[in-house]
Amino acid sequence: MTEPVEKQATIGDCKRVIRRIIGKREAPEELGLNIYPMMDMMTILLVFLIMSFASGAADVVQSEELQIPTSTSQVEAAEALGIVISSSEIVVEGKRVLALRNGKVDPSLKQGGGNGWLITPLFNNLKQHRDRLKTIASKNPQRAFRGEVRLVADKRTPFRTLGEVIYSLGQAEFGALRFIVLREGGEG
Amino acid sequence: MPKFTPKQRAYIRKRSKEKHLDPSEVVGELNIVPFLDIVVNLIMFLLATTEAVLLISQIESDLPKIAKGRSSGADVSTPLNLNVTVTDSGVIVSGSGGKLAKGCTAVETGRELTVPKKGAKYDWTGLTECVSRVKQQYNDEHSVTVSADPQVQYEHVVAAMDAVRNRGKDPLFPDVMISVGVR
Repeated sequence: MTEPVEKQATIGDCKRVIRRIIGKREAPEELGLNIYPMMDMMTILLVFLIMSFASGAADVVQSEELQIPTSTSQVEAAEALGIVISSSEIVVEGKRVLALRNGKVDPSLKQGGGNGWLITPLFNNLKQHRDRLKTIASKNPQRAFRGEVRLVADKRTPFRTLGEVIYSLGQAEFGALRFIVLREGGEG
Repeated sequence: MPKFTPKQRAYIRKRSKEKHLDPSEVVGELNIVPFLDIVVNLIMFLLATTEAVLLISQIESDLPKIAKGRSSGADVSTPLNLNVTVTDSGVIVSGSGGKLAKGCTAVETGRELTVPKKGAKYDWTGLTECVSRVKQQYNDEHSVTVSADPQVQYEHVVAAMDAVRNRGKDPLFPDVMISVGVR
């Protein structure tokens, strides 16, 4: 009796063995959750919020020196030349124009001294803004000069100071005042 | 089972070996998790600050117009010319006929205030009542001029504007003008 002769392996046998070994291995795990859609959503939200901030009245920031009074008014705040009267300074369009002492204007800064109404540095600054806005209006009829001013004032400001600012505004042809207030119930 | 030659065995071992790719060979995805953290934080911050922004509104008020020459006809035709002046001790309501007495039904000349303070606080409800009584008589009037004494704080002026503008949802004198002239 002759022993069965082992057949010599072919290249096909080798490949079959390789396939079997590789096939037995576990498939690699799927890695992590796909967070790309979430990131897309977040980015859209972020852009939306930044856009709404840019167009809204975001520059009103309350502090110890600037506490805005509350009101029952429901009119949406609109964009206009911004004037801020805090207890220590008057700021026009983000630029400090003069300092206040206990909410009062120094008599030397007013035309006519203590009894004067026109605040000279403020008036000069407002004239520049008026000229700038009028130049824009002459080039673009859609942005006509209406003399609108957004007045953000500290609630403790004495009416005399407010009056002097309003008088200076009036002299610089800004007659449409928009007092910025907190909607009732919005302080807490 | 066919018989493998050593060469074939080496070939099988080589081909079936688990490959560990070099990190540089792996097709890399950008790790966006830290970026996502930043975005989430930014959104939280923006949402938290938006709340204060949304609660801001404005009071529209114009300066009284200076009448020139004959064009002052419009002012002359205004029969009421309602003025509300906030003082330290209360509120004075006056019209072209003179100062209103307490109760807002008659005109008087004395030093008494139309709506005096209640204790240390201004009586804004009283002012609204008073002005609504005036409104009943002058239904076509819409404008009021608000003024105050020099030392009166701005918040009281705003409160006075609120009191004369409307009563609940009924408009009283919605066109508020602000006058800075000294009384």
